[in-house]
Amino acid sequence: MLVSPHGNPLPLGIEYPDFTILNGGISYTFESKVELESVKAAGSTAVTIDIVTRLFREMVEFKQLPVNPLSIQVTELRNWEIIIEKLNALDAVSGMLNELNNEQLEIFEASVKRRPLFK
Amino acid sequence: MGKKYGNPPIIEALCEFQFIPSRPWDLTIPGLIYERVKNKFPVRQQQVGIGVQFRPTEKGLEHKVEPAPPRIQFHKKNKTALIQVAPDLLAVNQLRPYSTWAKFKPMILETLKMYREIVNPKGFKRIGLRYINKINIKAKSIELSEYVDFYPYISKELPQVKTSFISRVEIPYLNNRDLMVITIGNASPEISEMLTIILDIDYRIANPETIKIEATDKWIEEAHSEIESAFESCIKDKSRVLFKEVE
Repeated sequence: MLVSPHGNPLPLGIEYPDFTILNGGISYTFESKVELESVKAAGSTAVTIDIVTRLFREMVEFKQLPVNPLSIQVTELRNWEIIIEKLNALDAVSGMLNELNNEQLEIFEASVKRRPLFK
Repeated sequence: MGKKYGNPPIIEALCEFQFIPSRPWDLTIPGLIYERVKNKFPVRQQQVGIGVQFRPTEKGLEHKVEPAPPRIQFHKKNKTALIQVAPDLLAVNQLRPYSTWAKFKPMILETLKMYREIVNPKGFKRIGLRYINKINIKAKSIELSEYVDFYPYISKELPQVKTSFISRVEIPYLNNRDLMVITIGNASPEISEMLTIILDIDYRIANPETIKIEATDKWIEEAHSEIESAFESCIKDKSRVLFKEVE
């Protein structure tokens, strides 16, 4: 078998990084419970089977790479959602207060129960 | 015209187009595409992915993991074919049963035409036509060379029994304009006492932006012809018996 090295470098000025997308439906990890065939490596868009994935998975396992950062990001996202909800509520209330006269404001001040919202 | 088989091993044929990034991905695009394809491809699915980027450094291999844009899939009701759309990407997949190239080719070209009318891409970064074959052999062990003519060579000094194997070559075509990637390996069998071999033939352009969109018809025709020829070169008569060659 004659082996010849690649003769086609990328054209100057164009960068295509070695970027692999793994599509695993609702699963993002390489845990053993995930069947090999259920994880698709996509430089290609095959949906049945991709045996190159086996090599990729072996490399990820060999290097012990953590490929599951999404759970952390989802947690962060949920925290932000809660904070934004509180800010929206505060904004709505402050808008209402602008429409109150002095007497109504005093009643509001007396009846409102203050809580540390952004502890 | 290639050989015809009554029990073809093709489990998936797909054509993938990657386009030159031209404008920010508009989230309304999948909706517009669905409007056009919903009669033939009514079942929508979303594939979530992660992107893994590797970069060699002095300290070793560094990697970065981040969420990838979701890929939207439009399936036929019977799940035998689908269209996939993601930023600057379009793929047309035919699953089992694969009938003929004469039926698959128009599906590719019609889908591309529809995509162009909606997205108006600048040009191709990449095109690939790929056939994935699954060869099921009812046996506990086989002599691989009796079924295929593409397999890893192992020195006679080494034990010749393999429990698992994978072999892959990249062959340049047309003065390095195109590239054929042939991969063969074993896979988990569907039932016990069966051996499953995957023969994956992927023909693609080697250099980005070398094919114009208008030349798609000609390119995929050539690509199919090369894949068909490569497939016949990779299999042997024992496999042809399994596939039930039709005269």
